[in-house]
Amino acid sequence: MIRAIFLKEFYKIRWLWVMVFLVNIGVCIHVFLTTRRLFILDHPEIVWYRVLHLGQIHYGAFKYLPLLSGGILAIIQYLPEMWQQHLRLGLHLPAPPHRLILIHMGVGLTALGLAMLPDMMTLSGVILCFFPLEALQTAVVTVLPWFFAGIAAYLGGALVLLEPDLKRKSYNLIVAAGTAGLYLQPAEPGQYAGTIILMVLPLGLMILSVFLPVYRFRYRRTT
Amino acid sequence: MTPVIEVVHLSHGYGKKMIYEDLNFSLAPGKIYALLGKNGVGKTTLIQILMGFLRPASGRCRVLGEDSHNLSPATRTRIGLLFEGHLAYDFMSIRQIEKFYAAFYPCWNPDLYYGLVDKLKLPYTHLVKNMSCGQRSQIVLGLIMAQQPEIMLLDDYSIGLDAGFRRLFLDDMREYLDKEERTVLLTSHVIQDMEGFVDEVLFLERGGKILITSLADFQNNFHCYRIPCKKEDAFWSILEANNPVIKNIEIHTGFADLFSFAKKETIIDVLEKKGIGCDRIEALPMCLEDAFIGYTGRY
Repeated sequence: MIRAIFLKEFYKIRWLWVMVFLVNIGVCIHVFLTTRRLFILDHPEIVWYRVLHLGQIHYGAFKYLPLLSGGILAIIQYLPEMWQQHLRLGLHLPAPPHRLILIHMGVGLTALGLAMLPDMMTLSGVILCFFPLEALQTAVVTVLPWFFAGIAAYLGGALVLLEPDLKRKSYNLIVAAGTAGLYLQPAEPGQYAGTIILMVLPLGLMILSVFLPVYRFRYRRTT
Repeated sequence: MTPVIEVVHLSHGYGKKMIYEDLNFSLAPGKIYALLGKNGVGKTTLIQILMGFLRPASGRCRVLGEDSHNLSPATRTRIGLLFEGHLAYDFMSIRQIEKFYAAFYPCWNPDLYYGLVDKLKLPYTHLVKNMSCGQRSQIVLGLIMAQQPEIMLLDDYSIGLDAGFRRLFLDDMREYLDKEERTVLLTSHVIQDMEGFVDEVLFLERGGKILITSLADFQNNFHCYRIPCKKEDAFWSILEANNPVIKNIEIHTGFADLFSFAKKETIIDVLEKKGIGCDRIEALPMCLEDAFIGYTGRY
């Protein structure tokens, strides 16, 4: 069953996922070139001082990329399910709805992870190439909340799109936008070092919350 | 015989508007039923409830012994659904969609699917989204047949199909149903297709009144009587009086058609009591569509 749903979702999202992936690759190239340019325009010690002591972020192009990737992936995965209520096809399959939707989310999160993988690899590569190891630790703590925003955008998108009731859809949109927005609050590089683990918790709750619209869709009562 | 579908005291509505109140019926296994009714009487709502995508406001709706809104996965394997518009995963190819569904159903028979699909003479790599409505109907029917369900719920199977594909659909169904005993409940707006195909019809009317009868009985016992008339007012008064003998009256210029299960003599009695002369009353032959419109009314 898991393989069948993975394949179905793969057939559905593959071409648009490739486009999302290519956008991520494009931004990776941009970050590499931006960082290289810093060293072309200034002496390395000046760049190090600005980045390590003054907290200049040379990989800022990554900030909204996961958010965009997560949102788009949610749309390309769940909008076709809601178009003419295709989700009914999946929900009539002989499997519990929560298992079905978990597998769907598993596919989406895997696809999002794969799209964001080049970002993390590029960031690590660029920093290890131009800066000391400590800079990588700070950068990872800085970008992880942005990646979490991407996951929140994906789960929030699922929450909004799968909800059959329009009023609840708008409430879900506020919750999704608020949660994703929390991860994108302005912060100094490495500021969340001590709390990064706790930041995963809202994402766990969002996964659980996606079951609600699916169950409402499956067993809804309109009176 | 245990019914495969059982509707008990079902009430449902949207907002304050009730569609049915206290709807009751049950369907025996192994028969083909057609759920018929005018637009807006709640056929799709009833099918949605039976399919488990709508929870009734009150009452019970049981399919294979389980509440339709709470079917276990094991019971869902025994129910084949055709959604309005021949819904299918259109981003998949002919082969991909078969492989997908095969993973879920233990009694899956791919020969039944490919038997239908091969008639289309399309490569198995052909995407469902690039098919016509008729071709898609073959794919969807093939998938349901390969599942080998005990009950098939077909919501408006004829929508978007031309006469050829409608005939093909029914011929395929007939062949499939001849082999094993299965129950089918279908809805369609093409009434004449039901002739010679369904065993029983369920006429659903506004307010949830339902008549279940065999198609043969309905065609034999439901009559149309034409009465020439100059003044139509008398017929209006019968219509307004809601006479239990007369199901419906269609008033035209110069004549009126009365529809009833009663014999000609009974009709003459009723009309004479109203002072309507019946010396030129004439029983008209009806096709199934005429009888359906006569029973449910034109508007």
